[in-house]
Amino acid sequence: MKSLIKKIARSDFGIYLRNNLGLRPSPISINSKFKLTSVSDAFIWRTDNGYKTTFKYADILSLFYQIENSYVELLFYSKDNNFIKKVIINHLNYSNKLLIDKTFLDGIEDYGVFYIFHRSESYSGNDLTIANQCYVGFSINDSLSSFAHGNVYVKSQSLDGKLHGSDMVKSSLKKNIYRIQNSFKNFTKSELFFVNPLSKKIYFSIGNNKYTLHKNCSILIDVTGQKNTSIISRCMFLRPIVFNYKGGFIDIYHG
Amino acid sequence: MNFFFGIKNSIVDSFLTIPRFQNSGLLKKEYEVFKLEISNQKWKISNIINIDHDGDFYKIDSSQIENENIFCLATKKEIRKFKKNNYSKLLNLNNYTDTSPAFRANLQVSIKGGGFSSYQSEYPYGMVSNKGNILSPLSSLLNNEADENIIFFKNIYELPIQEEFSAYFVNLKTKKVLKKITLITNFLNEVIVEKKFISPEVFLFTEKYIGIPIHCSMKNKHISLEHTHPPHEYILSEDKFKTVSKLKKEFSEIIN
Repeated sequence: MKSLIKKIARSDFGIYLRNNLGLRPSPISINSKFKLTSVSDAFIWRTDNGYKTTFKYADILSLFYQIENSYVELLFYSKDNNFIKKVIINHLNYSNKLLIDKTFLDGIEDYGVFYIFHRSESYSGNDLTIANQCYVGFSINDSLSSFAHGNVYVKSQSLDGKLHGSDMVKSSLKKNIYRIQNSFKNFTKSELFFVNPLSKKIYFSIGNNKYTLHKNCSILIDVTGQKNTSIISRCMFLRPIVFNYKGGFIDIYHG
Repeated sequence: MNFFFGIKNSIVDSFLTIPRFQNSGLLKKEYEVFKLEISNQKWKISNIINIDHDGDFYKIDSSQIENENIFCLATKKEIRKFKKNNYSKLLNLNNYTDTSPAFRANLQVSIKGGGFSSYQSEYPYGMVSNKGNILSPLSSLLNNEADENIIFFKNIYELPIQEEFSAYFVNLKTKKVLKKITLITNFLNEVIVEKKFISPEVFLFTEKYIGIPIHCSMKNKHISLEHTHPPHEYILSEDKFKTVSKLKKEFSEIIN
């Protein structure tokens, strides 16, 4: 009986009920529909205002499962969720690095998101779900990159790339408050980077300012000088990446 | 419950900001910040009163931070529970900082006259009673082009002891130990990493005790600070602990 209740509570319908009734809410749920799944965050890339982005990622399939000849597929999107390019990287080390600058993005000076999916055509073992949270570094004018790890799961694909999943972050009928546990009072400039993790339009507000983000779109919002930054949304996990600037230096972390 | 910590170092200053409110906006004023340090094989606890002007944050500057001490949020009533166990063990006093999304204190580390980098300085209570191994890749966050690369390794253990334990730089491909390092429990250890070790095959592997490896790079007065993910966070399927154990066993065999 207990296991049946657990099973129902963990189902999509159970999570929907829990989130809307406030019974052990689950802002993120990974109920993979396929047997071999690679889950990805929506990682930020920036090439605007002299930014360069460095992406560091692990070869999870080789490190943990000793799978040879695995590779990764990276998909780049603009801030409006328009597809830019696909990159396939073979011959992986345990840890790998990719520089994303305007040359890499064919001259684009802007910001957006990208996803990483692991691929293997030879794996024949048990069911597995992996997630590469990785590390993304940002530098301006070739200074040392400031790194932050991944922020939130957004999309998934089967290891062969044929099946796609999304909406691991949940929304609720009631509005949720997420107050950033830091102040932006003592910086020259502060920006928050948001990506919509859902495959539907979301609305959110910060103070008196209201924002709309379409499916998987992203936005940079200036919050310079704010002391109390509360984000109100029906999306249950809308945690931004923070970019703080002071005296020619930058600091990036998840808010 | 979470503990918080800072970094004391000759190159960098650190400043710890602990929010008094949860990320849902809820603020319970009875929660105060306490400093815990080891004295005569017991946990010595003192109250720190340093709230910012608006009453939203506890501010702990470098004069309060030592590599041996830690901080927590608790009520006065909860702190009195330590007396019952004769200050002999850390306790799980409350769930005020057990939130989803995760509670975030901010440890800002800065170079004098230079840059700054923030780190989320929580050390979950669940880690303080556990022993085990930590596996952390060196090249994921350290930088071959930096002037200096350091791993700050923080261990908090429930008993008020400062015991030595070992960590190793291990090359997984050649299955060789490249370097042995001595670390101390209940301490923020500083491991300077030479560039020759920053390679995709090289990992930091600890023996006996766990902790949080915080990777720090510095160049031209710029600084970057971030922790590596524990290996089980890469696997979401049911095999996660079995698969990670198998990998750690491989490292154990190399160091032994």
